[in-house]
Amino acid sequence: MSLALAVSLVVVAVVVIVGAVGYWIDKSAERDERKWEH
Amino acid sequence: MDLAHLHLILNHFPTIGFVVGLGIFVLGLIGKSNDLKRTGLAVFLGIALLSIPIYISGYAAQQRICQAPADQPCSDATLSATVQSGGAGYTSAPVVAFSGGGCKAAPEGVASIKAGAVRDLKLTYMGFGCTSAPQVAISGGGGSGAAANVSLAPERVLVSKSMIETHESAALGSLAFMELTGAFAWLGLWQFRRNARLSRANLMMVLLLSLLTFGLMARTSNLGGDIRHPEIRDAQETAAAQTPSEQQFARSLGALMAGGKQWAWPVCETLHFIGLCLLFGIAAVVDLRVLGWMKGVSFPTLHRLLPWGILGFGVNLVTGMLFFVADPGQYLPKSGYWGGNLYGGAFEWKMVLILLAGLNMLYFTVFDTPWHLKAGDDAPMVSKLIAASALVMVFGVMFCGRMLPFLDMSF
Repeated sequence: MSLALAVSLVVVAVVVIVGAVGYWIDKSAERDERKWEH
Repeated sequence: MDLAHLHLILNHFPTIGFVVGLGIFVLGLIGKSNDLKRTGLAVFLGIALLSIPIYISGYAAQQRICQAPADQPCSDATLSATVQSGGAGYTSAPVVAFSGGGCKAAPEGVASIKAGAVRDLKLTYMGFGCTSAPQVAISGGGGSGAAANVSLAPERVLVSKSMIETHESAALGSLAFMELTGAFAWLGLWQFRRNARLSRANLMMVLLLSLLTFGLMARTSNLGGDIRHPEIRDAQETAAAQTPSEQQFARSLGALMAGGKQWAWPVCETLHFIGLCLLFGIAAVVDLRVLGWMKGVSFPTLHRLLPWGILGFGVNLVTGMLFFVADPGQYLPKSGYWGGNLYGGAFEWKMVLILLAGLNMLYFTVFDTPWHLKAGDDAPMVSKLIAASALVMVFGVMFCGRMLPFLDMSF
């Protein structure tokens, strides 16, 4: 496996994980806001 | 005053500050006071930020100790050499070699001659990890018959490198948990700002992490105190310092980055830039709104983006620490050039600006004034000044980071 491919795969994996955490925080915030509005 | 001094001044804050923070936080939980809980969370966040320069300055302290005069070397024991027999016929200084003694690194020394005999043997390096007196062999120089012995004086141990490494590894573990506690504390403060409620799950997570961090931090502090205070060492701590696995954490991370440089370094560099874009992007949008751009957007709308900026900071903190652990020497003043021209201080400025920018972020996360900015509202002057300073600080962090190779001669 070439170096560029290895680097790209690890970077993409980390970005996906960070993105998933950010998405989860945002969705939780939205859910909480709806919950406390009612 | 330099980074080594800073380490000695600041290193008390995480332990003492954490006790204070934990006390306030637990009181808040028992008394069901949101104000106390939020104060506790803010203290955790502040200590988490402060822990970054404390960890980094620890390397400078180590560097200083190891550059200390020869009677205070970074070795496990203080050795002294005595010439027992000078021999005869020496025309030049003979070669001195040390062996045995359980040394992980053999000591080194030079002999001096006078009137054909070895008169003196001076140790130039105390070796590392010697558990008993090593043997000395004197050869060459045209003569014969010279003999010397080495004595080991554990009672004179001043600084032990293995103690420093044990402290360093413990510190890296504590730092990781400290930052995780800080991240959840920030999230709690952010959630409270949005809903005027603290999430129970988040509070429990912060409590668990803070207790764990406090335990790790107390151990790190104790191991740090042992470095300079042999009188407080107990058998358990001495054993920890003699167990290689206790010293491995920081070293193996450094080895992964340095040894696996081919992939690990570019991965971290790429992620560092992605984190930077996230952090700067969010900071710019939020600060520009407060300064008067995009007035049609209310602050609470932008406030929801803040976790993305913090995630960017988290990515940069992890990758930045990996760079530092892999090769701390390149970020610190070069040996022999303390106060010299080879160090521009960009790294130190970067650390200071990160701390200030972190406190700045706290203002936009929890304070009432920016939160009440509705669509079309103009922010008060104080908020504008804080937003402008935030932009300057983030620019400053980027500038200092970029200038590391040029001002500090890093890399």
